[in-house]
Amino acid sequence: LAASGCGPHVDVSVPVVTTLAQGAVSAIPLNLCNQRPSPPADPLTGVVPPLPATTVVGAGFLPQVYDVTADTPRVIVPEVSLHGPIDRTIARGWVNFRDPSAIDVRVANLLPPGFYDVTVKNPEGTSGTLARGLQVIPPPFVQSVSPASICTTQVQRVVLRGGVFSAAAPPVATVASVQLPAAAVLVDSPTQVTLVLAANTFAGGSSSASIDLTDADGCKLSPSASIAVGATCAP
Amino acid sequence: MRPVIAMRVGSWCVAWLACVSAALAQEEVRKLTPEELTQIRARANANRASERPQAALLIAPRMATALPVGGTQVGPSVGLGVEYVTPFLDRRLTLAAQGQWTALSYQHLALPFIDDAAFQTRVRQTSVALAAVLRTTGLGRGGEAYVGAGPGVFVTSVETAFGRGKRGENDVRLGVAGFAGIDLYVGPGSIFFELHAQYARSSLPALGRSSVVPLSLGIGYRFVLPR
Repeated sequence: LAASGCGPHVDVSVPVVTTLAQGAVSAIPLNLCNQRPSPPADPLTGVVPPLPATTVVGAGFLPQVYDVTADTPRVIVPEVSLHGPIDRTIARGWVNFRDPSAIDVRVANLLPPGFYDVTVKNPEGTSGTLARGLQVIPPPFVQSVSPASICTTQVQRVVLRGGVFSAAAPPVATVASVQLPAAAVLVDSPTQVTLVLAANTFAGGSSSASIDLTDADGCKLSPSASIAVGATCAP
Repeated sequence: MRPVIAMRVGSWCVAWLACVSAALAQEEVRKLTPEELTQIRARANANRASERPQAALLIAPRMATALPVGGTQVGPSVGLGVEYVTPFLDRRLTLAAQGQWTALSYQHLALPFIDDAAFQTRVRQTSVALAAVLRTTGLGRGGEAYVGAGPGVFVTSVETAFGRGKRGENDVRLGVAGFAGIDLYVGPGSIFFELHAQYARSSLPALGRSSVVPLSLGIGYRFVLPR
């Protein structure tokens, strides 16, 4: 009773990756911080939500269902992988097929900085790649803060040395949780930024103030820098 | 053919009457031997066989439902069978061509990696089977039973819709079909109830090794086209 077949035919779809997007930002390459802070935990359940999704945009993405007559049919979604300083296939649990033109993926933190090619591979083996579609960037860092101490009653200039700062896209700076105006953040070089603190920018009474920097891609200085706050200004 | 059959029956009767009257004349009343009884019964059966409908073709549209066997969904099926009545085995052997079309639908639960949306797989199968059918009058005057089997060609198409995306699969393969049923004579033909089985394992990823419609139960009406 052995049955023989004339050969199956399965529609083949070739994926094409055109761009990456996160939220409203769509770019090639898409800059992605490798130390994004986790979203706050749900106050009711205590569950920490996953990192925000990055959307791979293109065409021809298509899952495959297997054994529909089985008790638990299997469904395989397209595989998304990154190829750059290291090669990384995104875990299936972090891939969400939205439609043939969009797949949401969650890119893990701590990827080595650099450019990555983004590849989508359908279950039947066809694949498409967007070269240098993703740029993983590190958060800004601060090695030194000068002067060592400031006061609150006079205009103060604080010089931060570290990196990597962009004059084209200056970071957002906050001192003691007070956000400075854009004009008060001066990028002197990729390794130095100067903060101009107006008098009475923040309330006195504290012996130190934290300094935070967040770059244009949402990458935040971690941990925060700090500076001593004196009661009286130096002459 | 009927005059020939009538003449043959008449000759048997004449011969039988002649034998009986001769026997009576010789010894008034004589009990029949077992051999004579057997011969008489055989002749009677032959006469009865000649009374079967002298059909040449049987045409049988039917409706069926796929039975939930081996994970198969219940689904509608329609078919048409054409049978040629051969002269063999007292015209109880027929050759049948059976076509069948079946539609099945599999609803999948929402999955977290398919955008939490339910999706669907639709299966359509068309088959044509050639079968040898053996019919019997074992049920008596009101109907008859039959059984048949033979090779077939099975054409299956599968479409799974993932939102706006659809993946199609299809194959053409050989297999075997078997069926058994009963005919109940009603009007110029007969109503029949039939259990239909097939073995034609698919090679499509979506179907695994399923025969798609391994078992179906149908009802139909068989038209008789006389010779």
